[in-house]
Amino acid sequence: MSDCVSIVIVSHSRDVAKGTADMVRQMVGDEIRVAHCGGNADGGLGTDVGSIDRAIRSVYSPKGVAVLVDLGGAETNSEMAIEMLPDDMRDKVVICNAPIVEGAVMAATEAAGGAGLAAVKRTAEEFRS
Amino acid sequence: MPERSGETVLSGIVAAAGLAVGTIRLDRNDRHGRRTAGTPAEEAAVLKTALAGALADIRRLIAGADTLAAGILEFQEALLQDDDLLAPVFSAVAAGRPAHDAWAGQLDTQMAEYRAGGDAYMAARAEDLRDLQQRVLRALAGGEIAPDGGDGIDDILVAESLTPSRFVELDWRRLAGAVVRDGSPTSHVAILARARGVPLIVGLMAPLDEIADRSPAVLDAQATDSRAARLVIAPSPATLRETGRRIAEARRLADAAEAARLRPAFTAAGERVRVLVNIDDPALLPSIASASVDGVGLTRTEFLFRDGRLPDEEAQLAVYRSIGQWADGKRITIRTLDAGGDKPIAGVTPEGETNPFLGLRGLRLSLRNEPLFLTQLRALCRAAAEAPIRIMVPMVTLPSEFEAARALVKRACAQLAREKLTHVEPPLGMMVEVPSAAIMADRFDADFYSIGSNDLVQYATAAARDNAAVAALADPDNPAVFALIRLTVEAAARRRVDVSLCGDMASDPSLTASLLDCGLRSLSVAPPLIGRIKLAVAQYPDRTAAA
Amino acid sequence: MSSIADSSDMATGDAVIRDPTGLHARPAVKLTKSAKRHDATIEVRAGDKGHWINAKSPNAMMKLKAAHGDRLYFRAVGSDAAAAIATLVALVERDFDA
Repeated sequence: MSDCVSIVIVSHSRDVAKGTADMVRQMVGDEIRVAHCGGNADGGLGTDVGSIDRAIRSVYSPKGVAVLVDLGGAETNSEMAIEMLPDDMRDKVVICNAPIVEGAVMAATEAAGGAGLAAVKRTAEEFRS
Repeated sequence: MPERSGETVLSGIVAAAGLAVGTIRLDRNDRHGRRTAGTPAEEAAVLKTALAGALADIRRLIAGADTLAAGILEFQEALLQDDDLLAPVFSAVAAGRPAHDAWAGQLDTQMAEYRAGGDAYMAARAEDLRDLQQRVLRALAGGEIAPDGGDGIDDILVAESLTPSRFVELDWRRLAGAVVRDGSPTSHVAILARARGVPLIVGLMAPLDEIADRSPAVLDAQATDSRAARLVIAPSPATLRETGRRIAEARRLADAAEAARLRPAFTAAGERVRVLVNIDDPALLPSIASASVDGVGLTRTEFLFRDGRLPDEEAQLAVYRSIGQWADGKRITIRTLDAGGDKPIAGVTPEGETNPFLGLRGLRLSLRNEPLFLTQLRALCRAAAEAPIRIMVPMVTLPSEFEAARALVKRACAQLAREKLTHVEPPLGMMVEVPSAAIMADRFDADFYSIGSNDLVQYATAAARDNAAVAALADPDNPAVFALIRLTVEAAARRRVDVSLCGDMASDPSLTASLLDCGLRSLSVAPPLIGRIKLAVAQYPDRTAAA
Repeated sequence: MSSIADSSDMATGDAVIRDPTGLHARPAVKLTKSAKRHDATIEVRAGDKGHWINAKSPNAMMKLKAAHGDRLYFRAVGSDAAAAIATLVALVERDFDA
């Protein structure tokens, strides 16, 4: 398994985050490392900087990490989490401006082919148009 | 730390340590709407209902709360049934004053009385009255406490104040921490926050109107020498990076300590260091894994004598046996009753001493109360037949005292032999806490030494830890203290006996290197610090020190 | 040491506070709860020169600011005065079953 870009999925809903991760693994296979986070302690809706930070670090690779988010707070908290990373990691983690499920699948597909971070992000975002 | 562009840094005081990143949630629950007053009869009825509702709420909170929180709320429950407190309120209402005015006025008057005189404890009680005042005023205004909603988790609660009952109501798994304008590090809310590991800043120096709800923020209350805390609103990328680094470091340290906890401790040079545990109360034993320690360095026995109880031999034997079972073959050192000084025991310790710290306490007291002492020694000798137990006597000053204690141990064994009760004569050691004993440690025929640094430091510096005016003088990081420790370690080496340290110094990771420098290779620590101290041992000598 | 004296429906007694932290909230509440179980009117003061306050009022009890080593004086009037005094004195001596 050579180094590939990893995927992190951040949703307000733990179910959506996990479900999306499952779909990615199902459709793309296990070569890509995927982490997911979402929801609060009671299984309710929300996102938090701490969980996102841990998720990124758990799958980080020097090839980079593509982060997929759902609504507002997920993006803000993800931005904060990325800012909190050490210098050598920060530039290699990007948030993709794409619908969470479709973007994750497209990104993972591109990453599985050995693409670099910029290409992975572009592919995920192309889906929008 | 200079303020970076775009961000606002507000100062406060650390009440409960921690570091968090999140979103500000302004909590306005201490405000309540206006209400129009009715007739005196109507006002009285409304007040009765509000008081009954408050009582029901507090009782509900007490039922669901832990012991600590319940204890704090019970005072409010009692106040709601205090006729002397309520009578003037109802009188004022009958005379035409609106219920909320009469209630607020009476509580304000009482709070002023509690706060007068500058007694910190009484000022904290005023906090309880304020909590109650607000609860009833809210009920009178018909207001509901806003449900604990919010956009997502990791919110940082910002409010004028946080009352104990409100703290108990909030869901701290979802909130990252809290910041309040008033309050103090010694208040009840601070105690609750520390107990739950919730970061709390008090004394925020800015009005809430200047804080934008839902802004991102960093709550910086990491424990350092200074109690200064910061709330950074709209943190800059640089601040977020630094915070991320600090959080990662704290997490790394906690993970490393957890990994170290269950393994034996070795210095970086490969020397084995025994890390033992201090036990105050066997009720806490289930939460400590006996596999995480090399033994029990200190078992305090004062808990047995609470409530004015003088437990008989069988009762004590049962307790010592259960500790033996928990220890699973590891060595246990049990200290005989160390009463007196700041630990009074009804009917046992003397009253009216002008200088209890320098008075009849520890072994001195036990030698004056042979029946009590013998009962404990007999129970210990019987328990020693079933587990590797050693006995330690506290506050030893002269070799003759130690000899007297040993004679009593022998007498206990002689009695038990005559009575055909299974027993063993265990090793007998001494606490080294009186400076003169440390200086001439080798004159004591002790089977082992355990340095009691808490009292040793106080006696050596002639300063009390609990006296704020001089507490700074009783800092254990003092060459004279280390000299006394070294003398004891050297005496132990010459006599070829074991030496350990069981005071608070052993549980302070910043002192571990100095203690190891003194030649100590056995430390008895507080249960929550086991992992951290093992980590400090593994880092000794400091690998990062300049070559 | 403490003492108890009574004559018909009046009784007095006293006891020393053992808790090193003085009369804190929990002990104060216990004292008032215990006092409330008796019909007699019960008063307490800290030291032999203090004001007498109503032993059934937690607020008044809390404001008493009695410290470790202080002697609390009780007086009661009523049909169960002696029993009330005995109970309260014992409670203080047991350090409020802390």
